[in-house]
Parts: sequence; structure tokens; C-alpha cells
Amino acid sequence: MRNFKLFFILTIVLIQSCDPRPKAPEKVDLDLYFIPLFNNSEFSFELDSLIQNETKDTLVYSRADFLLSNFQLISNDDSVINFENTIAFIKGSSPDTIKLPLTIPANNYVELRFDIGLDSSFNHSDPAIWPGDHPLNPSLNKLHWGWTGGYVFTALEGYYENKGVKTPWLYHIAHLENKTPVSLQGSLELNDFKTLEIKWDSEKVFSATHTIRPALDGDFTHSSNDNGLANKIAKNLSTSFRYGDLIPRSP
Amino acid sequence: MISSRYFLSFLSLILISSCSDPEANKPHITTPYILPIPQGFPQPALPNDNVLNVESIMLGRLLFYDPILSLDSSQSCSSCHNPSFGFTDNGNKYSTGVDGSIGFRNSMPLHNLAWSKKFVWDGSMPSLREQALEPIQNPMEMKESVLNVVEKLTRQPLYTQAFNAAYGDAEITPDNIGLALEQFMLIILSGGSSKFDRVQAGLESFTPEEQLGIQLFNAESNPNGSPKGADCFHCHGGALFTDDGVVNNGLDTVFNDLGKGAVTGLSADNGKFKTPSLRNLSYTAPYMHDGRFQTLEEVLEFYNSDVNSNSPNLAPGMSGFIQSHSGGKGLNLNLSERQALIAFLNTLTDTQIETDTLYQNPFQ
Repeated sequence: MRNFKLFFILTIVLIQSCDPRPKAPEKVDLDLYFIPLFNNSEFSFELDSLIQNETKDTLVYSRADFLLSNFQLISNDDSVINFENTIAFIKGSSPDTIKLPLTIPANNYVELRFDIGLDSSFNHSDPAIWPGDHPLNPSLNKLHWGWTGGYVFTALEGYYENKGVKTPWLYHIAHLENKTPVSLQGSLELNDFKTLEIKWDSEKVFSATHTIRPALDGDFTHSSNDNGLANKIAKNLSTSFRYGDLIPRSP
Repeated sequence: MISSRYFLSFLSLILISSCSDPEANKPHITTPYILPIPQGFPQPALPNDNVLNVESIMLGRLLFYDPILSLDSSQSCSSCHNPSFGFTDNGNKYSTGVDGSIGFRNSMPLHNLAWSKKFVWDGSMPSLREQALEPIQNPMEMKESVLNVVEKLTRQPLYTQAFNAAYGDAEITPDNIGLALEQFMLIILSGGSSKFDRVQAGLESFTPEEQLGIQLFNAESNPNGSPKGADCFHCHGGALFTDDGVVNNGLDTVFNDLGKGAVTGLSADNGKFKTPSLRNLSYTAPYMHDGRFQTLEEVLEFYNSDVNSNSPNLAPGMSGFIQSHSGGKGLNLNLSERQALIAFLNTLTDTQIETDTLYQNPFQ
């Protein structure tokens, strides 16, 4: 009888330890993965000629690099999770996964916010202090202006067809007045470890709040003496990001 | 009986352990080398699998200066990368190989490579360890097989000892040759002691001409005309004076050398070459990938009035050079502005590269 009791207890323990149903985690984290698109299709940098629907301009992207900061997740009870001091460098031609470095409560979130660009403290920080793999290391991001201080927040470059001639365009968006908030709204069920795709609609650089035609509006700005071109592009960028798929992954 | 058997087994194990080579389990210890990063430089992302150490650097230095790496033992790496010329080829436009073959690109300087991620003029080499083995085998350069090099080095006690010190194994391999050469090239620095660096550190001041030069260097080529700028910082900005990019700067409309395009086979890459650092320019003439310009005056004359705006794949960063205000050909700077730019560029001269004993020929 005693042996039977022992056998029974052991069996229960074994069954419980073999329960295949994983418990939902109370804390999760979120990765972001950036996907550049043009007219809803993926494209090759340097190579693909892209037709802007509205203006019919023919464009090539050779570079689309961003510095993003101030990530926030808003839950459905309006509480805010700040990913403080989180900077992400996105290299459009070879994007990597961004790890948001904070464990967060498993929850349903309704909004993801971030800024394109940096706060003044980061923008004017000493570029020599950042480790080799840090998003603000100038050798990594190639977005620092030099010893005059400050970073380019968005470096967009490529070519357009101007009267049949392949002509370069370059829009470098910098300075605090062009730091651009982005808000992505929609349900994010973060009840487990997941990767969120962030789609970037690159055609919106040329057509969103403002229509930009390189041949007419300017094919070059370093964000000064440009008749407001950089500011218009920054405004266009604010609506150029959207959610993609939310993909489960291992912790 | 059982305990006796266990005792015997235990004793056997101890005996076997004590008979094994005590050196076999000893970790190989090297002396760490801390790269002295010049003030204002970004932190480099050094290779994690080839951590800098004194023994490997010294081995790399021996290899770099030893003509044993070439087919007829007539040329070393330093033959075309002489520290007295900023690790370039003695003022030559092109380099001459062991059998008299003439190359088709100008020898690149070797400083501050710890911050670079792509090497040689077309940017095709992703690491220094790979790049280091290429000229040894290139039929137009040292024209030797790496296996022959291994064999020759193995016969030299100097090298068996040096490889043993660096890698804990006297066996010499092509991989270790590449890694040691990588270590030596990673530590060659230009920065910290030039006039520019001393001004940045508050130890010295620019002359008025140099001051105008740095202002022009850092200002955009503004299509509206004021303030006037030379837009150099765009590709040559930061403490390293290079963006490590591979671009077409508008030298030609038809390319004799396709550059990156010859490697990738993509027409979109034709005419693209690596942006060189501007540090130590006064040592590294002639200039450009093909050494076409003998002087800085000629270089500035090109950027001032001879940029080919219709060059295929012209770097978008060159947009400022081809705005209509300059007739689409360049910066349109006057003579005194060009001279000021050259005065500033000469403040980047760093004699340390010529005198630092760590960089010099160990056989002399």
C-alpha cells in the first residue's frame, strides 16, 4: 500500500513535469524589424528604378539610413512604457533587428511611438565615447556631421531621371527642429516574445503631406538654406512608417 | 574486493594523468595590447577573434617588412607601403611587382585601418587578414604562393619562435600569417599629434589662412551662394577624415577602371572607389585611385572646375559640386580660397607615422 502511494505521487509529479503546455510569460520583450518598401513592394537599393505613382518621377534609392530614439509603448489603459536612452540605427539597405532593451509586462498595447532623430543631449554628445557597436558610433552609422557636432537624423540618397539623365539626389535631414515624432496605432498583443515588422513606405518621402519633385523642388539638402525642403521631407517621413506582421519568436 | 578494484582504477587514472604532457593543458598566454585611440576618434570595432596582443603585432611587423613573402625575396609589403611616405609607394603613381609588372592603381596609405570595414580601392576586401594575403599571391605584385611562404617561414627559427609566441604553436599556417599581418596594420595610427589635433586639443591655433580653410572644408557648397563652402566634410568628415564609403567622385565619364563595378559586375557600381582618409595627405601623393594628380593643387582644381556632372553613378554626396551656380562643374572657389583649403589640409600632417619605432622596419 505504501509502495502504491509512492508510485502514485511519483506518477503525478512526472505527468506535471511533462505537461506540454507552456505557461504564458508575465514579462516579455519586443524586437523590431524594419522593411523598406516602395509602392508596397520590396526593392533593391542602387538597382531598382522606381516609379513614383503621383508624379511619375523615376527614382533609385541608394541610401536610406535613420537614427531613431524615444521608443514608447502605450497600453490599452493608457499607461506608457518608456524605453529610455534607446537609440536605434537603421541601415535601410541591410536592416538588422532592433532589440528594445527592456522587459515589459505581457499586455495588449495600442500604440508604438518613436522619434526620427535625437534629443539635444544625444545629438550633441561626444561622438568619441560610444563603443564600436553602439548606434551613435560615427564609424558605424556614418551619420555624424564631424567635429561641428550633431548627427544627421535621416540620410536619404539616390538618383532620379532628369530630362533623361541619371541625376543624384540627396536629402540629409538634421537639426532639432526636424526631429520627427512617429505614432503607429493599432492592437499589439504582446502576450509572448514577438518581433514586430515596421514597414517603411519610401515613396512617401516624395508624396505625403507635401509633394516633392527633385527636379522642381530641389534634389539636395543638408537641412539649411534649402527653402524649407528638409522640413517638408521630415513631415512626409512622419507618416511613412506602419505596422507589418507581429511574429512570435523564442525568448 | 570491490574497494581494492576501485582503488586500482583510481591509481591508474592518476598515473595516466601524471604521464600526460603538462604543456598540453597550459593556456597560451599573450600580452594584451591596448590601442591608444587618439583624442576625438570614435571607438573602433576591433575584431573579437583576433584580439590585439604584443606577440602577434611583433610577428605581423616582421612579416610586413620581410621580403621572404615574395617570389624572389626581393619585395616586402613595405616596398609599396613605406612609412616614410605615409605607408604608400614612395611617391610612385603605380607599383612595380617582382617581375617588373606595373600595377594599375595607386598604393593606398595604411593608417587608421582599425576603423575601416572595407579595404583596397574597390572596397572588395571585408577584412585585413584576407587583404594581407592578396598581394602575396597577386601575379602583378609579390607573385608567391602562400604555401611556399609557409614553407619558407617554417625553415626560419626566427619565425617558428615568433609564431609560437603569438599562437602557442610552432606550426605556421596561412591563416595565422593573415591574422598577424592584420594585427600589425590595425595598430598603425595617424592622429593625435598633427597640428589639427593639437588645435582641437587647445594646444595651438590655426593661422588665419588655415582657419578659412577649415571653414570652407566644413561648409556646404551652397547653391544660393552664401556662405560659400567646399563641402569636403561630406565624404571626408569626422576625426578620421573619411566616411569609409565606396563612391564615384566624378573623375571620368568613361571608366578605364570600373572599380567596385569590376568586382560586383553591376553597372551601378562602375567608377566607384573607396574614399581615402585625408590625414597625412602631404606624405601620400600622388592622389586618386590611379594617382592622376601629382599635387593637392591639381586635386582642388578638379573639384573646383572639372567634376563630370554626367559621370554615371556620380555619388549623391557630390550633388553640391554640380549645382547650376558653378556651371555644374565644381565648387567655383577663388585662388585664395583654394590655397586656404590646402593650408588646412596640410595641418593633418602627422610625423608620428614616420618616427614611431613601433611602425618601423625591425630588420634595420
